[in-house]
Amino acid sequence: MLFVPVTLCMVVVVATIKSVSFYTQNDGQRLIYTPFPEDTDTVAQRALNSILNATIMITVIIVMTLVLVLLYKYRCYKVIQGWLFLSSLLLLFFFSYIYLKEVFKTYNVAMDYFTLAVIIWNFGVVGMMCIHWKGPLRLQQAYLIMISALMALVFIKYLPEWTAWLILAVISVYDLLAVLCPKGPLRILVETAQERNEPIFPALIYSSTMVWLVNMADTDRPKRNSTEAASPQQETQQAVASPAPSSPSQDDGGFTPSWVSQQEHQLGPLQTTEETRREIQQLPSARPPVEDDDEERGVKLGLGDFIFYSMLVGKASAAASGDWNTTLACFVAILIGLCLTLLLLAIFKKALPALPISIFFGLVFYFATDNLVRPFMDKLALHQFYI
Amino acid sequence: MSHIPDSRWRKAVKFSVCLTWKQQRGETKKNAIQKNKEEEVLSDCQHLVIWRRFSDFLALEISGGFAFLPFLWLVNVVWFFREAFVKPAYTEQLQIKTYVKRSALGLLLWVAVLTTWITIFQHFRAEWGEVGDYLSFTIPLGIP
Repeated sequence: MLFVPVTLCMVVVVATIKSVSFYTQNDGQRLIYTPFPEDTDTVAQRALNSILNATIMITVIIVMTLVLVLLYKYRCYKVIQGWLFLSSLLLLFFFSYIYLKEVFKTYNVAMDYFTLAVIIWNFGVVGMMCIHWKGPLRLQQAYLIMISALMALVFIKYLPEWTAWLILAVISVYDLLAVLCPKGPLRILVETAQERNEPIFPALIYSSTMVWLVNMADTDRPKRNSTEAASPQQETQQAVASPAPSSPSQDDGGFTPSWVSQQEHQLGPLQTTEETRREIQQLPSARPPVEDDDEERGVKLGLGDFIFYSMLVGKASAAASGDWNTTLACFVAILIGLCLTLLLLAIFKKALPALPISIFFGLVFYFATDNLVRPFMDKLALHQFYI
Repeated sequence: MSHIPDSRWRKAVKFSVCLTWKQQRGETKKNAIQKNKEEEVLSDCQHLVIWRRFSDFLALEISGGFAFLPFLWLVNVVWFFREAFVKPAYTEQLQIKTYVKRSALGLLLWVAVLTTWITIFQHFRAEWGEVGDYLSFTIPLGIP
């Protein structure tokens, strides 16, 4: 059940990369988090720069995660909510505006300001409503997929090649550590939430079902304050992507870390970093299956996972030698990784990081296909030798 | 709790909540609860569930739609269509029906307006010269 949304997200990203050249152009702009350029003279210099970039990014991610865990620990819910709200605002309005502009340019379509304003306004407002409040489940899922795709596209555009691959690798490792180590930030988060016996702040989680039982609690209690009411006491688990601008000079600025966590049985750390909205959460529904058809055992996956999966596949298709072999190989690798993770989830029944296995497979397949399979296939085609 | 399978427990909880709602609405007598009526109560409850869940959303969608948000109206129509017209009648259905109809009306109006404007714009953009360029967000390359 998670395959469809992950596939959709990846399809959107790859389709955009292949058709809209904006996202593969190197404008020379970089994010403030990756200040070292990669177009250097020597390979060693390039390697060093990319390592430094990745280090900066991962430090930012770690810091942001810790900040969020602290905020949560000291009950600063308003701050977190406001942050997420602003981030999703930026994502839904600004990034979609840029995306539309580039798509129109690519297809050479004239568009007037009025229609554009109506489109963006509608898209943004309904998105905010669906994500932060209530909305049809399908629509909410669609929005989450779209914003994940937008984020992944931003990353693909603004992260230089080697930095991107390094970041993917490092983040998988961090994910593993943060979720499984006893001192990991996400672990602390989960334990705090469990101690307080309250649902963890819902933000960016993709959920495949709605939960009825939660609604019951709603009706029995009086209206609570908005911060708590916004939490998974609602039927629809909502997630929000939220980057927020921090650097005006850049095209997209930084992002506010948005961070998501879940109730019991979380999977993976939710990290909010200025760059990444990563909530890794995979969660078999903590509740047992119900007979009703709208409440199956749901699985939840953090939006950060979507973003990094799509980023990997997008980068694979955007790379200089990007052809479909590599892209498809990465796609299959990620899905296999996802399968395995779900399997492990069923076995262990606790929070598991969703990134490491998939990203590991994806990276292995990418480099193997790009360097081994593709030349092989090219040679075969050249010599018209069919096997 | 350990002896009762979770699914059974959940159903029982649901049932009791539904019953409470119905009692609150004066729709059932306290002593008329039987095992075989559980399904009935539960199925009736679905409407209450939906109503409670989404009544304020519906209302907001209607009013929000006036703020240049035909998309909200579209969501209204598509999402509540089944509730309003396909499902068998229940008390709140009338209200939902009215909402859906009004949303559909507003949506049609907006679609008409937008289609007209877009047709006019696309057709006459080149002829309008400067004004056309001023109105344009993206200007296509090539000869129109």
